[in-house]
Amino acid sequence: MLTRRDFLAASLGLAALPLWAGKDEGPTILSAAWRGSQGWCAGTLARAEIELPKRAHVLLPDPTRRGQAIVVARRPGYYLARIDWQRGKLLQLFELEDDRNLVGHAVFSPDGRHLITAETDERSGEGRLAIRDARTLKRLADRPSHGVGPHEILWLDDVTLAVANGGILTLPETGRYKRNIARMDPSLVTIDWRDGSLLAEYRLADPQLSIRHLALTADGTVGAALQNEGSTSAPLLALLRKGEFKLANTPSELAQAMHGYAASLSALGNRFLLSCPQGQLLTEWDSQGQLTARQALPRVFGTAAIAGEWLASGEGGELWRLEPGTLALRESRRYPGIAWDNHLTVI
Amino acid sequence: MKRRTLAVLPLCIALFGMAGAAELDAAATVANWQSQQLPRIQALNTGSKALDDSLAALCQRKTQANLDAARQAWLQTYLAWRAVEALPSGPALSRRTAWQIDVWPTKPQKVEEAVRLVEKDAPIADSVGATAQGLPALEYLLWGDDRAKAQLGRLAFRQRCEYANALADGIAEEADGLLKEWQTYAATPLDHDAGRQAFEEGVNLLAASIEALRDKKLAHIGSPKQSRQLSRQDFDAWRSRNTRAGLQASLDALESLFFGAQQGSSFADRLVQAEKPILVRRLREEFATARNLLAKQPEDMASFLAANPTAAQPLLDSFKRLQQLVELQVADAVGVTIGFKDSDGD
Repeated sequence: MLTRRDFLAASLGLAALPLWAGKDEGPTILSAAWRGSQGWCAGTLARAEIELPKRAHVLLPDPTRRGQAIVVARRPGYYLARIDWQRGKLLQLFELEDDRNLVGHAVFSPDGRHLITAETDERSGEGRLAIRDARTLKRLADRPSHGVGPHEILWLDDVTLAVANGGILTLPETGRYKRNIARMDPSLVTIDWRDGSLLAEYRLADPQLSIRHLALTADGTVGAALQNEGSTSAPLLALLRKGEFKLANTPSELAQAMHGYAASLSALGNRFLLSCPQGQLLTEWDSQGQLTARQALPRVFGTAAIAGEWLASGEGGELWRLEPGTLALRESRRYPGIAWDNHLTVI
Repeated sequence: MKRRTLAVLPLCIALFGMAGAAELDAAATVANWQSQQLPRIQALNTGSKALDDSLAALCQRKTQANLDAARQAWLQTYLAWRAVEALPSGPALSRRTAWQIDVWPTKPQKVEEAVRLVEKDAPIADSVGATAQGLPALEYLLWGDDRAKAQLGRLAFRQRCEYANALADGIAEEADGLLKEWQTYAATPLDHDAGRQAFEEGVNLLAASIEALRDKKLAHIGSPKQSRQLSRQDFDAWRSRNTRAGLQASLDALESLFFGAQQGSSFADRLVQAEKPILVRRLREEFATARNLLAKQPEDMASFLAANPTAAQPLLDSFKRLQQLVELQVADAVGVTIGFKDSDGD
């Protein structure tokens, strides 16, 4: 629970310490966002004003087109957008093919020639990975995600993709209603990018823990952020380490405090940063699954590792810079009138 | 639904014994819903057959009278579907009837592409997406976007009429399949566990239907999802000017699913038996409020609200109260978890 003292602590530096103040050549951070009456938008933190038709989720810098990024619509999404984040312009709006929806996540291929989008086939409900021309965004090929409800995709090496299959079937005609809670089948799978074949499939003992977001530490541990569809509290971080997929060592008090919902996961060295907006909590873990630090922050969603530090964003327009190892607040800043979406992208 | 509220439900249930949930006969409630839905599905089947026949007649003789008959048949089918859709459970869910006949909004450019591809007496090609099929696509072909009077001339183009006929064929085929499966489904007794599962699904679907009335069917007015200026195209059935009629059909069916009984006790009766008379009274009052507020809206609600969105607020508030009653109090009273929330999937 976020106490008044926590809130004041998180807010103290807001006016006094602008983030990376004085740095001419700082890293660029992209995010989707929304502004009260002006609606959905995206761009850099300083200039998130590129208007979008619907809510966006993740932004991906285009590795072969400097200054450009692809915006992926939030689930269930029906557009991809190309933006020029340097000039604050929308360059291209691509309407998704019939009977598909995006789930907010994608990756570029290692050579930058293709964009791989996680999608749901609205006819069958199957998870798909669409391989798209990175320039035109048109679909060139299509492969199974080997599960239902794919969400974040992550490169483990040049040929291996990890896919978080959330395991929840939602379909357009019943909106947000989950069609298979009693039969959820979340999985973490690894796929050979060259032919789409399934390399390995991992499941947790509790099928009501939906696997949504992924990050990779320096020692090769894959972290998976979870969302709990069950009625009892549960850990929200799982780790794939040395071929074993298991829950992080989470004290029951902490599991309860996280309120069943993890929004974002990032890695720095051999540490993970996990945001729990409903629990108003940020937690740091080592790659062996031990909690190393926690910090109460209001409605914290986005996470990122930047220049050896942690960064987190809040739905109230906040950005926090935090110390690895302790999650002590180093700087805070608030962008009035803007709400950051779930993910931060560092260029 | 607030996860925090849900999280404490099991504790509350354990502490207070959840007398209501223990006493409510879930299988009997589902049986009542099944029997109530049967005549609605029969009406959908009858309406869709008439629609199919009327389109065939229109394509034979392109007269204003035949177009009027086709439009009337479309309206009857649409209203019958809106009533069925209030509880799209069992075969309606497994067959994905909504996906087959009611993907909204339709995409006119996709419909026009499909018109060019259609072949006489052949089923619609697999390549034609759902947004170019079903009742909304047919509404577009019968009324057009702006010039309803010009549609007869446009339907004189053979392929256009053939595609409209193929859409009506598809709707009739789906309605027929649904009716047959529903008859089998309703005739199969549910044991305790299957009854409980169907009941939990039913309560979730009722909550989802009320949310759809408040949000999707009313152009997301007042929602952060609606970030640009409203237009009438954002509303269900705007082309035929039947937005209000569609909402009324859904709301009436929802009210009946709570208070009506083809056999035995209604859902509301069972809630009273489970010592929830105040909740039932509030539900009854809120349904009446919503019904009255909806009746005050003009027939062409889409055009009116696009220009006067604030005029929808009392109705939206009423739908929201209804949704909260179902998601929080009814679900609590019968021990059902509402399995969706706005942040899901992110």
